[in-house]
Amino acid sequence: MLSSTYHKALFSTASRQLAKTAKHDVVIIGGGPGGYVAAIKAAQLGFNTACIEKRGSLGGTCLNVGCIPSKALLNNSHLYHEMKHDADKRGIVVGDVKMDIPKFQAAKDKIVKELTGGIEMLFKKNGVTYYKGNGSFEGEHQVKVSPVENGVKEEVLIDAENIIIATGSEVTPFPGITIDEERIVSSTGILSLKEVPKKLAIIGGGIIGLEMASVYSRLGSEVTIIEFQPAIGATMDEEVAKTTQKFLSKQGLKFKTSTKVLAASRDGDKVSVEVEGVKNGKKETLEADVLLVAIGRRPYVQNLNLEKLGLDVDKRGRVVIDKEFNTKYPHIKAIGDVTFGPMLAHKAEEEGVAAVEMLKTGHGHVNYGNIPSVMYSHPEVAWVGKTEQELKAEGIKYKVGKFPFLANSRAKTNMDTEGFVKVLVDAESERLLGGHIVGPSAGELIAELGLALEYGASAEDIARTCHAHPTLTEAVKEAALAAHFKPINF
Amino acid sequence: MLQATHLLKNLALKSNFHTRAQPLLKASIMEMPAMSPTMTEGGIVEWKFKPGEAFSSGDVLLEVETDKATIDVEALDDGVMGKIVIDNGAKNIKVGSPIAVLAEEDDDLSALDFDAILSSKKSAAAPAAKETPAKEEAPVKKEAPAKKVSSPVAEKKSEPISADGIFTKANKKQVLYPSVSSLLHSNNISEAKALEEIPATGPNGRLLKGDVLLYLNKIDKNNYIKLNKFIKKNSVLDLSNIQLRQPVVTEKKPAPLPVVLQLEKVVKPTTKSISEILKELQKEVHAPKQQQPSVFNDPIFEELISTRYSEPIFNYKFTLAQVIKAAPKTQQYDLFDELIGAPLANNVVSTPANESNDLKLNVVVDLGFNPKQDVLNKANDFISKVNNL
Repeated sequence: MLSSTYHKALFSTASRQLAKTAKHDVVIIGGGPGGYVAAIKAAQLGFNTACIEKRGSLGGTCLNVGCIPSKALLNNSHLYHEMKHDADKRGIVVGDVKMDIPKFQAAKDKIVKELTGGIEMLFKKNGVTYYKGNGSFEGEHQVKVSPVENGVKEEVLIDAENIIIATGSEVTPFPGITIDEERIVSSTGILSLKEVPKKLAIIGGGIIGLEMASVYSRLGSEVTIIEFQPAIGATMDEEVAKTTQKFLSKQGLKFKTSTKVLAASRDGDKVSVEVEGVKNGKKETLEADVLLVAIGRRPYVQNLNLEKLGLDVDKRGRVVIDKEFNTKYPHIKAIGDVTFGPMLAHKAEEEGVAAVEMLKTGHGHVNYGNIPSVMYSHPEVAWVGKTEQELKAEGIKYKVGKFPFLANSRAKTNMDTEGFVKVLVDAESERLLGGHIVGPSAGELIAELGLALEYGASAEDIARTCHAHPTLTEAVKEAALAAHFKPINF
Repeated sequence: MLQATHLLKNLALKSNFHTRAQPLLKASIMEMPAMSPTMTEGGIVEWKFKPGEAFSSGDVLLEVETDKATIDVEALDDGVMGKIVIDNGAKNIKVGSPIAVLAEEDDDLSALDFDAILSSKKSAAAPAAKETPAKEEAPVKKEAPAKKVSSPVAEKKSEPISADGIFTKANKKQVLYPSVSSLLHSNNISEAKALEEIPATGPNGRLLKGDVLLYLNKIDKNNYIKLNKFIKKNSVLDLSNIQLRQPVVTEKKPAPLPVVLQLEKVVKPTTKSISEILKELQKEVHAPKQQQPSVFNDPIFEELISTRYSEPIFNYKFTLAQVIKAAPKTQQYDLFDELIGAPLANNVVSTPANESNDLKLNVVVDLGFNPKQDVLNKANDFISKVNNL
């Protein structure tokens, strides 16, 4: 460790062991995507930095039980599905394609372990002191690290000049439904099912629900998604959400939109879910082998002892901050899921960097108008900026440019042509306002539209930029061309 | 590269179509959709919903027959089938002619005047027929990457809006965007002049296409300012209207009062001291109850489990005072009486209070905040025994 002043108290009486003490310039509570990125950035900017994490491994929800393991399952289940159902039409003769679920899960676990271990290595490389323990407030400048299993052995009292709260979020429980992570599971339990359920019911048609629906549907589960809202896909553009629902229905997913869950209970190896139509009041009971509760996440501040300092939280439990991430104390900031804004790993990362830069230079910047979202179903769905319904609500006149992957040569060669690129631009100045892609590699393609959005580019600017041929990115260019003038290949 | 127009046609014939009826009053008219760019008329194979039945977006409303194929038509929005104008099996229906009336989910169907809705459509459609044909009805056009300008939401010519903080001086060191340099070139404006004269709205003083268009008076300034304000507003977190969670007010319950048993009693002096008597009574209540031995009552066992009176489970305090009896009220000597010759009563000035031999006993048993029932019972027992003295 570079410069942490970490010393055992010199005086200890026979009867009473004094806590260890330490002193750091910046202490970050939470080692998820927001916290660990902030810690590395702070160390790189020359702060004596510490990061406290109690999970036992770094990376937070994202790396341990979120984005990363789910993507491993999504990719491998997709390959399986392709081999089983598409190999033939591509002229590939494969034998009997089978799943080995324990190995499938082990592959995912290996990836998670390598990535979380990688962050620990980055901490060492950048000189971040890592405390494995529970961090809580002891005073305005004091943070206590309490022992956890395989963590610090005794309490450590840290004297901190600046503190960043990055404790993230946890699964929102469904009132009245007990999650046992066996038959009634959260987004954590669904990642490590030991077998493929014959019937899987999912409460919540948001990104988490739809991704897990995709995984298990490909592996052979009969999946039903129950969504209270009339449409799936949370904050997606309405047209994109409708199209996505159509694609997923074609894959065999069943949707019950505008449907309310009344109760769910486990009886042995079965789960029964009572639902009611929001509009018609029709009640029915669904049977499933596994029920996934994926209705959202809520800020996590347990054992943080915010009360000690009287730090405010709002009605939904978010730590209250100002536009410089400051709580009521200017030296205590909060970033990521625990505070306002979309609960996304990359948003937390941006805030982590901005908060630390603010400590160093007094200035840090996050453009909240340009935070992309991606759903890793197949086809993928990705969007950035404004949706049509948002622009309509604001009374902004806009133009739409759309291009289908069916007319994109790379998509054709890949035999993967579902979906389209849609750009929304200001009707007069043609400045890009939003980009929406449903289609192959949408999550990668959206980056270009994000860059264009950041620099205030117009549809013409994208259209006049040379794109390699044949690539999927040409669909983005053509959509921009469609918004600006006319597409060439459609 | 691919010529994709024929692909689209194929796609169009294969896939399902969306149709959205034009909003009109609360209910709306559904028109015969064009299932391909060349389609001018078609037939209705079958309606999938009866009047009064609710449907959700994505549900197949009807099957339409063209010269090439039979195609499902899906609903784009949720709604209720109001009235079917053209029934199953009808052929050669012109694209754009009304085939049904769709209602909103919460519409009262019995209150809707379908004829009025249909006739209003005819009269409204007639003069505008040239502009509207197959606007929403032609899904192929809708699906295609058409350049469409959204209908503005009740736009008014408004007062000029202040452009505070939107425009900055153009950054002289920038590389111009392709749209900007092409626009400057076609309007014969030199790059140097543009960087000098055109105010910029892009990040770090970058000139955007819109900035040049505004400079050339080709776009509306108010709209442009409104757009920039909208973008600016959305670039920061909305931290307005934060509703704080009220700290959980743990109702401050008044500190529980200790349970105290108290008895005040007048006792006659006895040979035994009060203190001894009380001690014996305490012993008595502590002693295991003497009961007839039975299957249910084993004195040895009772003794074993009962509290030993040597370790009393409650303590008491007592005070003793002599009872002071108030003296009978006596007449006071009054000089006035003597002066008027009235007889002096008893000739006494005052009498002292009578002292009796009775004692006032005050016993207080303090049982703490939350005594066990057993302790409370024994203490009550003790107090009643004292009372019987």
